[in-house]
Amino acid sequence: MPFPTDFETPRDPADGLAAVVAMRRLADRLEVAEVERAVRDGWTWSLVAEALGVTRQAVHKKHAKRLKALGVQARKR
Amino acid sequence: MFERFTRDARLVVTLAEEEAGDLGSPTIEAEHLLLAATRLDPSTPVGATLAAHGLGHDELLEALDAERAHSLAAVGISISDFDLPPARPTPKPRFGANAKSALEHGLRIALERGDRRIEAGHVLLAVLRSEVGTVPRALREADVDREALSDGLAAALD
Repeated sequence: MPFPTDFETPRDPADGLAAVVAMRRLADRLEVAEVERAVRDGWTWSLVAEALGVTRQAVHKKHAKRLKALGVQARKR
Repeated sequence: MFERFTRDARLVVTLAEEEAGDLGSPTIEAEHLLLAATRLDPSTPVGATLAAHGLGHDELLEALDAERAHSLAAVGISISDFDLPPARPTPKPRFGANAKSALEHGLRIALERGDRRIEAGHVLLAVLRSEVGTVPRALREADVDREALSDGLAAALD
């Protein structure tokens, strides 16, 4: 599958690489927000992990502590 | 590695962790060291130099936002299209590669200058040495001359 080219690809690699960094940050922010929303909606860690395509351990390690501090607990399966 | 760091240099490291955490960044980056430095008292050499170049905490935060928005716009992403809730703080951000190398490089700059202690100024000179990445791009957004700022920081160390 070709890389989507319906956007203007930056000419300068510095701009292209900065876009990669900015997209990673945006993805991180979005992940934090969406995982919190899913767990508040009653999703289990297993389901969140499956939706993200990562292991349950990975998603738990990354988000459980933060959500617990907010008083949000994932539903037991 | 922090034994030879002065009080202000340690403060920059501690405040950088706080900045990264508050902004919800999973890692401490070079820009968080710079943000931390803008919080040093204006009576300190680094605080005075940053103030003289018009780089305050608010100005830098604004410049970082602008840098991100412009970088995303370059690939057709409009940040304002995202309905993101406010950033959730990160409890314990880890050191990212750039911030880590800035601290190591700060030590090297102090050695090269023959300075015994590592001051906040050495750390900042290390943060500012890179021509690419978020820091120089944000400084351009803020209309701050990176080289002039470096010269000012080096002069304040003499």
